[in-house]
Amino acid sequence: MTSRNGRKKDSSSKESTPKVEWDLRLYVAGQSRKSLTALANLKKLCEEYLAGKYRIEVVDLLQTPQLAAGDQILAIPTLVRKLPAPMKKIIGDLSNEERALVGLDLRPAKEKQG
Amino acid sequence: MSSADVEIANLRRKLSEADELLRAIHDGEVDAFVLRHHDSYRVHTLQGADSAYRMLVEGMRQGAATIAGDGTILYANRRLCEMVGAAPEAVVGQSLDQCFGCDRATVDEILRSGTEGKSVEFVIRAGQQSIVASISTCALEVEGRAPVFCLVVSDVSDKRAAEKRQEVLAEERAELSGIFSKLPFAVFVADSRGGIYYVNAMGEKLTTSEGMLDKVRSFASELAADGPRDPEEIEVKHGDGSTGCYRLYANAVRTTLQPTRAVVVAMDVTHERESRKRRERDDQLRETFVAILGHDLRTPLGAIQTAGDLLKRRARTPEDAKMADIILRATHHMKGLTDDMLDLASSRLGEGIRLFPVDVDLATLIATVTEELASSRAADFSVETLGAIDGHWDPGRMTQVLSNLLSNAVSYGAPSRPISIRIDGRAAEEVTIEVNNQGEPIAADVLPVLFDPFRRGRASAENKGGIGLGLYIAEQIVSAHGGTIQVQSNWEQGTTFTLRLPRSSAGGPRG
Repeated sequence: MTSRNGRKKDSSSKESTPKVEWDLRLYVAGQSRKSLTALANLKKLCEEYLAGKYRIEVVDLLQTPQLAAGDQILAIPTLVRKLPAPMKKIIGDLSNEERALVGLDLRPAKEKQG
Repeated sequence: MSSADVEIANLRRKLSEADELLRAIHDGEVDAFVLRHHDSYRVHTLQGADSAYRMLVEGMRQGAATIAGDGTILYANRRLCEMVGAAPEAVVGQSLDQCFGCDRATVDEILRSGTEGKSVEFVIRAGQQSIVASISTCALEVEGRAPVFCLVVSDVSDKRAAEKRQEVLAEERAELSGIFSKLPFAVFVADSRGGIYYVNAMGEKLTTSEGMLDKVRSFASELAADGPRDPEEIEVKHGDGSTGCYRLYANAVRTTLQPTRAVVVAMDVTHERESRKRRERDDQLRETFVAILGHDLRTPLGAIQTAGDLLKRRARTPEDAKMADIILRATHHMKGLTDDMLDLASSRLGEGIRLFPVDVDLATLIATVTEELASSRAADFSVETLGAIDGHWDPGRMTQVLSNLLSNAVSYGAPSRPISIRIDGRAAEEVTIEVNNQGEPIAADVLPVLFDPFRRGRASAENKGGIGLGLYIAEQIVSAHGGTIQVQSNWEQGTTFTLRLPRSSAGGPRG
């Protein structure tokens, strides 16, 4: 999960493939339980709904906390959708797939209850 | 879109994010937060996020700590606190040198070793206890933050102590091996099943000698559980065809770890045995020679004595009679000498001195001997008797002993002083005879060998008339009677021979 600069690129599409429709960035804190859960959930979700057209960048804020400034990260784990625009944030371990899909605009939001 | 609409959209987005954040926190989907402190950011994990690590570190059998660059302990696990004998709250915040009881240079060395990939070993002293610690350090470089060091401290006291013991044992072993290699004996250690565990340098040379290892193995297999066995001499054939004789000693070696083994020591007695054999042959030859000589000399002596007697009887002039007397005295003397030689030969050839004991009164024997001596030599005797002085002895042999002792006393004693004879028969079982003369004592170096054959007990040249067998034969006769003869000699009391004779010697002719 770690690399020299604290980021790791993880993509199902090949490096040579120019067209990446979904550029996602996951902010984690080392290997904390929620960080690991979030990454696992994200991978599963991407493979299911975005196979071949996504890229995940993992940013470990324990190693490079200053990178939190760019996307104004407050809580970890946080997923940031860089592409497609507009930029969106989904906070948490993505354990609720329904909410994650809605957050990524992969599924329309239901009517709020109550 | 109007600027008001843009602002509303932004606010909505922020509100939605805030809502999302609160929901995630509420649902427990986050376990770390990013806090801004001035211009830097720090990640704070929630309790539980790193619990797996904490449990691992706390449960480690090694001590673990994180140390700031200035040496302050930021965290110490339970094991490390035990090692330094302090509570966690006392350890955290302390400097490493205080905690480990070392100097600052050692702390620097420990922290430096992290970047060098080495481990540092030193003794941590905490109160009464001290442990040998091996410390591995790694530096955690975090951007924008001072480096933090992680220490893993292993207690290697037991390991080092065991290594030390091992070293000492190895040294002792080498020393023993060195000693054994210098021994002039071959040393083998073998078990009862024929396995040979140790052979010293001398032994190595004998391993190819025919008969040696077989004997060592048979010794080992026969060895009783305890105690040494009697030495045994064996002959072996060396690789070069020569033969050697070895005396083998064996004993059991018992240890708690090993089955009982035998240590067999082989001593080269080849030369010893050869010289012993040669000596035995020489002794036998000499004694046989003496016996033949003594016997063969008696025959012509008998003839000379008979002729001398005749000459004396038929002497016409006093001069003739005097000549005949000289012949007879010389013959008598020579007969005494040949008798002594025969006695020596018989005692040394294993026949022993033959005794013909009868009831004897010592007073009679003493009177006979003293009269005979007084007739030929100027001598004065004082005789003292106490109790009954009779017993069952060989009268001829006892006369020989007394004659020898008294004649010695006359020869070596001061001329003007009487020879004192004291016979004590007050004890029921034995009679003690003391013969004392005054004058120059026997030299101290001669005393221990006084009764050996062919030794002249005393230095003065004249009047000895013997070949150094007198005291030897006297002692043989006394011990044949079951008695002892001892001598004491000094300037104050003069020289005293003490005989202890059991009243009844074993009886019957002895041989």
